[in-house]
Amino acid sequence: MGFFDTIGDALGIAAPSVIEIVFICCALFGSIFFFTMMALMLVGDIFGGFIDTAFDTDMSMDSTLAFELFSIQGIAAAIMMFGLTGLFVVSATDIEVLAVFSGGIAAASSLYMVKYMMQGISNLQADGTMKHSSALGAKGQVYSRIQPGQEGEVQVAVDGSLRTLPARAKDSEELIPTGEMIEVVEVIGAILIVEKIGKQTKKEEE
Amino acid sequence: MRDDDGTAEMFGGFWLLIRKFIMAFLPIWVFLIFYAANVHVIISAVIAGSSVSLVAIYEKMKIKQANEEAKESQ
Repeated sequence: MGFFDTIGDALGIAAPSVIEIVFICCALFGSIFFFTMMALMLVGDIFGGFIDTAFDTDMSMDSTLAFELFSIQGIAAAIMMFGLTGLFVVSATDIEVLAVFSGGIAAASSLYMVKYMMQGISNLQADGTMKHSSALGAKGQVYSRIQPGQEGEVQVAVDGSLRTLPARAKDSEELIPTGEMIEVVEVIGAILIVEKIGKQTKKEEE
Repeated sequence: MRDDDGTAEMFGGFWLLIRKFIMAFLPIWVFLIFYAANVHVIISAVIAGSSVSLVAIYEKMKIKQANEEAKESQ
């Protein structure tokens, strides 16, 4: 009894045809590859830690490599789905054309799902770069007093986080003491040009 | 020098990966469909080989569509 006959018997398929052998191969090797990859991803940190300790090295699986492995995993999942769906359809309907067709659809669907998953993962990445222009119009308070014609520091919320940034008064002869409420009216490079909130309200009233 | 024809931006940047997968597996899939339908092996192989051109046609269509949309928005 041959290898494929043994596997075919185990799956309840007697004397598998060429198409059934293709399905068995895809399901078998796709599953082995998929689950091996999954296991490697899960135990990767433990294994990496062991290697680091045993050989005094610094091995890490960076995001690019993980991303590529994940794509390979998607392909393995697609092959596995092709084989499993094909086997299911061929045993249920006995129509090989339909089995190949539905296997292909299942493979494409699983790959599409992986694509969505990958997009979801990449959307989780946050860009920590602060744009100073986002501080325009932000309100906050003086952290380190701004002396006439000199630089001080202000605390303002930029992109959802509180930051302490260098600032100058719009009126170069004005002194803004610590704790005074201010508004950012202009941004020049990395320096914020600020104005007292009370002063602005007065201007608006005039 | 690599041409920047917009293929890299298709499907949120995943097209290059999808294309590789399709180019490898579409002919096999098409061949198996025709083989399972008891079509002659040579004819099945020719059709399977021709199916790769569908990927290129689809790619060109999508780029053309994207370019037209970009022109309209300007």
